[in-house]
Amino acid sequence: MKLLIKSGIALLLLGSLATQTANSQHCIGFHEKRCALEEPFEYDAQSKSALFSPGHSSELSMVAYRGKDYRISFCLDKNLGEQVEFQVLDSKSREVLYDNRDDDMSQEFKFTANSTQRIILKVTVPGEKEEQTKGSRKVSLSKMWCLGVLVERMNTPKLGF
Amino acid sequence: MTRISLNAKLFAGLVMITFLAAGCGSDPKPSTPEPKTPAIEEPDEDLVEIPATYYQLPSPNELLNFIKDGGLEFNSEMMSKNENINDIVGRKYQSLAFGRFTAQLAYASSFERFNESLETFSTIKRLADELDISYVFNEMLVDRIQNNIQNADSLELISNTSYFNTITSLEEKDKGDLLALMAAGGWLESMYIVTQSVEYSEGSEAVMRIADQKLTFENLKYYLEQYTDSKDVAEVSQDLNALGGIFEAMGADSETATAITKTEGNNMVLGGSSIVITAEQYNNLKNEIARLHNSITGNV
Repeated sequence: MKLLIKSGIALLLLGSLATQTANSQHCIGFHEKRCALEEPFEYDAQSKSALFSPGHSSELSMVAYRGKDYRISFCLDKNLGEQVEFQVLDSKSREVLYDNRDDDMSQEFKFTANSTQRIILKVTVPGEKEEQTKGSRKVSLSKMWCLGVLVERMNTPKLGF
Repeated sequence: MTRISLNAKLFAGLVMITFLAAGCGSDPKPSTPEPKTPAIEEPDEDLVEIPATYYQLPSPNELLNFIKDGGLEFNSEMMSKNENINDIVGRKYQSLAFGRFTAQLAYASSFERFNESLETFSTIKRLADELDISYVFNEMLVDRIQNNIQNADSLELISNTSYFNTITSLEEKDKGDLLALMAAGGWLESMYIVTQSVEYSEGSEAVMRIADQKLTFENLKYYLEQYTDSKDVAEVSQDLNALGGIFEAMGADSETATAITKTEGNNMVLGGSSIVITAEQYNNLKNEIARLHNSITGNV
């Protein structure tokens, strides 16, 4: 079994080289390197990094499970500034459920999910607003930088005995 | 990355066309002296395509964790036989199987089943080789395996890290179509395991959590739709339509609108109605999941 594990590890090491080269060119995984995890929260696979430019908005659709506490935080390239505008929208009605502009531009958002909901995290980098489009759009790579959205979760602590 | 490469190719193509057009010169002006140092147009910057919305899915570990929390026992019949993977042929079925085995790894690891986890990891590695994506297992993952293989939590760590690495690496390589198929295979397998493990009981935690997967299914469908240029992804998305109908028939326990409220202690609380599933709907869901499991993943 140990031989199998060692062989597997050797193969995996070889496979890693190609990935490292490609990773240097993109901001995928940016949040894993730059956003700070906060204990006792655990990393949630719904975290995401993407390219942004000042004035650009993007949305991330995620599912928050009942009985879990979540922490949403951000990390961004210095060319994008230091803060993002952030809203939580209802996935169906698109009603704004939370807006960090009403919360002193808080750069982290913690909440308890009392029921399972699909929500949209709308993130905007302050700047001259771009024209909003419904579908995907093409943007010059040289004017864009990385922004990471870190989603963390933990079981909601039970109160009392 | 492919999009960038494509753009580079398109640009190169445009340069070539421009060059040829200039060479053919439909409107030559021989009387105009040629400049000694002709201006060279700077190439357009590379353009990248940015989706308006990113659709995210919880990992199989997150989806399956509640099984163990719910006191259910490990069922070895849920694990596929390693030797059968040679029967899985073609990128579509291999990608679906990759997702499927990833979910099985999450299942085995959540119950700390050492042998089953390592065997499944080995199977996933073989499938990665078949799919020519062995680079998804990078140095970080290997280091973690080396450092944690003796620890009690290592199996879940391997499972989680393997999943995260796969996503990151395939996104990096712009293999979204493969990732979409893997996500479908992983989601379907997770749902197969939970629906085969849980008997319907009205209002039970496990049944409610299964009903909640209506929401992850919605994200899965949106995610697949982004890659329906791929015939394989389009077929799988189409195959899932009947399941969408079953989820759509489920109701809600109230008409309470989704809201975030602040408690007296300044805690933010996300609330709203919950999805309700009847015994009949649960059986329909279970049967359709089993049908898809047997057809889409080739029943290997």
